[in-house]
Amino acid sequence: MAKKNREIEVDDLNLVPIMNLVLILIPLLLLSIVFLQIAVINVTMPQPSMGKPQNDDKEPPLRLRAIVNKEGFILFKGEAQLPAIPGCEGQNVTICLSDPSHEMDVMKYNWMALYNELLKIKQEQKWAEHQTLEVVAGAEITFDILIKAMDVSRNQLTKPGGATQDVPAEFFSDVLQFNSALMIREQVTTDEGEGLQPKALFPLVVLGMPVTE
Amino acid sequence: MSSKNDEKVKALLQKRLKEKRKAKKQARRGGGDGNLNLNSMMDMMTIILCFLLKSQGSQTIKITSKTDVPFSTSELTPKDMTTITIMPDSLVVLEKEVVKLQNRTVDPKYKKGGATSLIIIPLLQNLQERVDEQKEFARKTKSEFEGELTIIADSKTPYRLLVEVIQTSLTAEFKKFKFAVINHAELGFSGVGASNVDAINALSGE
Repeated sequence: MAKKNREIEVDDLNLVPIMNLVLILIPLLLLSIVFLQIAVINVTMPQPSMGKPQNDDKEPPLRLRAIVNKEGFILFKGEAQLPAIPGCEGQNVTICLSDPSHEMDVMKYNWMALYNELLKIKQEQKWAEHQTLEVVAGAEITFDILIKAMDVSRNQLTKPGGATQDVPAEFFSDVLQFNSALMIREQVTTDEGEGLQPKALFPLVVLGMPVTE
Repeated sequence: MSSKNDEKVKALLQKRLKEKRKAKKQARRGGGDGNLNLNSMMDMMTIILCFLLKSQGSQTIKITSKTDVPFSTSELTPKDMTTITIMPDSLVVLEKEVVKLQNRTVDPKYKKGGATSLIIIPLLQNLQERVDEQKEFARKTKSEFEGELTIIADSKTPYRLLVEVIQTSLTAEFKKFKFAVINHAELGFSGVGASNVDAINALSGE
């Protein structure tokens, strides 16, 4: 008799309140969830100091600067401004806009030419170990253009379709190909073990004071 | 004639009533298809609930729908730290609004020394409190004060405002800065740098 009673108790376990709770919790959590993966970009910015920077070294440190303004990019290698690329002669910029009438500001710039110029500099022996790019933008330049400039200057790229590991970086001549370019990866041994890491172009970004236009 | 008809109707009604009662009895006993087995559904719900709770907890940086964060190919994972969110209409430190923005600029009356200044006073005060808290925490746990700050900015934030926020943070002794972006690395370079809204606009325009 006792056995029969116990069986009946188990059978009658009322799941409805739990179901109610779960049914409320699931939509609540689904609404608050963000299915996007967040990443971060490290940047530094020097604080303007009053005194002149002290430099006891014989050679001045290498400086690579990219100025972003409404007309395009101006690249400075050391103190020398790079001459305009073919097609941009006569303008006061190194790389002019490729599509000035595009409705999205970020698409007006010639990102492919910027990448090609930076890669050209990286392949010079003197600059091969250099990691830092100083980015200076006009006061009105928006954040997405800044992020795109950092993206373009961060990694060495290769054309899609082939291998991505330990291949030489390539120059691009076709925008469509550049838009689907892949990062070159190389085997790196770190404290945490071995792994494939993107091959760097100029990954460290230092921001400068906004230029007035 | 009519009484005969009445009897017929009565018998028919009684017959239907009996059938109804019989069906009800059967349903109560569990013989019909009225009983629903909830066990498998409960299992499923529990799994979904666990998954959602887990993914909810693992997010260190929360992005609201008001800020339109740009895409990037960066693969660095974020850490839990102080965040400044630059929304289209306000500056927010750790979910607390600090300064209102007008047309994506800070009103000169909130700045130290007029419109050309780079220091935003309410933001500086708030950040100095955060620095004091973190230094106290570092002292108690015998670790080092890192001075790291994550900046979540709307993709249309002008560079000038960005510099003002960073310079104010530098004055408050933050040293390392991170821009929060949406990871887009596996999709190559197309669309990178354009914001979500821009990407949707571009798609619908084609």
